[in-house]
Amino acid sequence: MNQKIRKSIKTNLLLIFVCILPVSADNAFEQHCVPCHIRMDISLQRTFMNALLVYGGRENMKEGLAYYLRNPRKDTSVMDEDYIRKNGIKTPIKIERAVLYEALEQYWQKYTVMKKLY
Amino acid sequence: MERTGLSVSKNRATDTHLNSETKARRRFLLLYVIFVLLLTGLLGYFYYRSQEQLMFSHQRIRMMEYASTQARRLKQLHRHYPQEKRYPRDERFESAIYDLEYQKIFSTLKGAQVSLDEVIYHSGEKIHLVKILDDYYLGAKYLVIEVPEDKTWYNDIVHKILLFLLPLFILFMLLGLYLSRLFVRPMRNSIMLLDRFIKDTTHELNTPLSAILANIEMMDRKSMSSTNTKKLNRIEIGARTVSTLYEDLKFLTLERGKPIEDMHLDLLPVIKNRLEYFSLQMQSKQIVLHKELVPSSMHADRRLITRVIDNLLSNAIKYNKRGGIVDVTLEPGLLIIADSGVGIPKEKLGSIFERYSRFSDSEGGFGIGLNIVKKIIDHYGMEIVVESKLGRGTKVILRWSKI
Repeated sequence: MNQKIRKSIKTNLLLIFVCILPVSADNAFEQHCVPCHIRMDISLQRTFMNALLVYGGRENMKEGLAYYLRNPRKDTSVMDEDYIRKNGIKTPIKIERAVLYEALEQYWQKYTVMKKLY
Repeated sequence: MERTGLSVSKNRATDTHLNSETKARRRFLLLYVIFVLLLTGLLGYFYYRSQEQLMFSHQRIRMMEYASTQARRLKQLHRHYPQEKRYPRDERFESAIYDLEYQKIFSTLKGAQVSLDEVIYHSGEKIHLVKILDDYYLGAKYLVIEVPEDKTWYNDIVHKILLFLLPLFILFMLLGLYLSRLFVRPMRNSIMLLDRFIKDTTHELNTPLSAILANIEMMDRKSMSSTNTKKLNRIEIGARTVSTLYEDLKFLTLERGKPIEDMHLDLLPVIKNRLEYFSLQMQSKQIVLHKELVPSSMHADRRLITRVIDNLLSNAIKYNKRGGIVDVTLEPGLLIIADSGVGIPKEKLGSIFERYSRFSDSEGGFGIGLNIVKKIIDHYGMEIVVESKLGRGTKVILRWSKI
């Protein structure tokens, strides 16, 4: 009997672990970026295109945005003046570096124009 | 049987020099051809490059206009993305965009190779122009414009190069021939002068040498004191040494073109005669002669075979030590002349038959003897083998077909 319970607990734990792993990895962008953008009604697509215009490549964009998100300033923002005048400058983000880069990678993957043009 | 086309009689001293002259001339011409090819090649290359640059500069103006048009379209697409995702195309050109990390964003190019570090270049049958964009529309830093290459300029260049460089090459070659003749003329004159000198000297040697040898023969040795006999012997040895040299020089110069009289030649009396001739020289060096002679014959000219035997015997005596041994073996189809002399260094064995090659500096000589030997035995298709050990002696083995 005891063996059955143990086996059942082991199976359940394994299932939970397997389910949690991908969710936690995918959640960096959804968790740390999306809610604020939805709340403030700021298009992530628009910010991406603005950032793309300034930073160009993937790695350059990730580095540039990571620096900006930690040290946001008017002169380093990719948004135009009207937007800044209306919404101001964001507050510095305070999440772990690895999580931040993971979120930025997911941001790139979701909005990149590569392989989407025809 | 008589023949006059013998290479030996034709090969006088000057022939070798003239061969050297031909060799020197050939080398000069080879270097000259390489130099001219390099020069004309470089001229052709630089002309090609200049014409290519000219063609590129013409294409560049047109392609820059295309690039500006495409950049404007990219700007529009950037603004309307993602509602609009169709990459702008133009029937006049193909294009591609790359980001600053050289990653391809989109491409319609047909050319296989793209080089983002160049401005304008060939890619197969196409020309590529790379424009660096001021703003990274769609993330693009590099815009590549591709147009098909018009090959008419290339064909024009090939025609012009052939039309101009080919006559130039021929002109240079004619000049090279003239220069080569001009350069070797002093050398040729010196050779001819030397040739005339050797010929005249050889001719002048004949009368006094004959007089010396004839008078030595006529002298009555029995009535002489032993001291005078020794002195006379020394004079005779000296005269015969000069005589051998004279015979070689005569063979090379004065007897040039003399008919070869091949006949059935009994070698035994010839060998005995030549051993008798050299006996005095052997005695003077206290050389012991070992001989094993059995009748042998061949089909050859006595004069030529005598030169072979004389030179081999002369060397066997000249390079022998005092009190040494000379072994002479004659069998049908075989003649061996061996000595117990200084021997020939291993590294010189390969070149002993070259004219003016002397394998020992201990004795004088012109180094023409073995060259004559080789020419004669080659003429008769005989085989010669030289075995030698330094300090132990030299063995020369001649083989021919028995008759």
